[in-house]
Amino acid sequence: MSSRRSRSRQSSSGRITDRQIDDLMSKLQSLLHDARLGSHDRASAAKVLQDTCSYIRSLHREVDDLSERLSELLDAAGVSSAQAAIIRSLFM
Amino acid sequence: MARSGPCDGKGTAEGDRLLRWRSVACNDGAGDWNLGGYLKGFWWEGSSLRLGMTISNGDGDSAAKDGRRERKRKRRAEPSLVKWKTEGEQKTYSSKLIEALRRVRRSSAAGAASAATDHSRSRAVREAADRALAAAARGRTRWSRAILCGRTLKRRVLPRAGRPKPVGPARAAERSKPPALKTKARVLGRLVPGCRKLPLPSLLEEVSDYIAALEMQVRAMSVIAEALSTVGGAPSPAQTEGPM
Repeated sequence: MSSRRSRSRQSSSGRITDRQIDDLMSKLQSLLHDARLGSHDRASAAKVLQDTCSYIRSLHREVDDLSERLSELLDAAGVSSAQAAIIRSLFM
Repeated sequence: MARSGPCDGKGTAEGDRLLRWRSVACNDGAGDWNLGGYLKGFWWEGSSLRLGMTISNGDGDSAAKDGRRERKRKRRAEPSLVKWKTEGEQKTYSSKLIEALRRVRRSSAAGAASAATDHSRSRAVREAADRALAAAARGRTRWSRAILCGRTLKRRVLPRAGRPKPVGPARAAERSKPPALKTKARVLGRLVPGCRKLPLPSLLEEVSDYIAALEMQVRAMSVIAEALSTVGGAPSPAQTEGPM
């Protein structure tokens, strides 16, 4: 189906203005960074991008740490007790 | 699901299913990700995918298809980030992740358990978590498809998922962005899988969905880690009576 291809081509020829991009950027990023930026009015696009990059990196690090912890726990825990714990956690 | 095909049910390994999905998706269409095409071949078990059914209904009806395409267009225009915050989504993800973790555990125990270093084990866990997260995205976002297709595929000459670069006046408009912004946007594109050559608006949408998904992944994995780490101790009093 070329619908998606033609759709995307239309949007590119539809001249995405800087204003649109800025709006999109501030809206999307401020939604996710409300915990970090607080109520600052840092509308600077560069700062938003920078913060987003560091936020994603920190999330990656967290996931890495968690997966390390999970791999250790998986090895240590017995089979049935792990299953029981997991089933319990799913109903918490 | 009204799908005919080798859906083996619960016995099928997740990797197997994903491989099947990948072969259908990558062979389908030269350029773009053909949403309808690969969803037709997208076998999935359980309750997690009802999308395939809605797409396949009324497939021969062109009028209905146009209506659906309109709805699809509108849906694409506003990717809902709320779903990553719902508890139902997190529980679904947790159960999928636990299945994958159990498989990782079995494979690492069956294979050379002593040879498996801590690093390779945690990497296997991380990859399983990422694949489960990408599967939870239902293939609607670029980063999820990139993850499921295997990140190494990016380095080969992937059939271009994006449109070819616009020439002439459009490119001049792109150049109006200061270079500092361009480099930062490029760094951002490298951080999100499958979004290197994306223009800025699409990139921002992908990024916001990716961040919401990552947050859910962190929440789910912390819950599982907490549950596993309290295995030896008494269950917490906050737990409800589950059907155990």
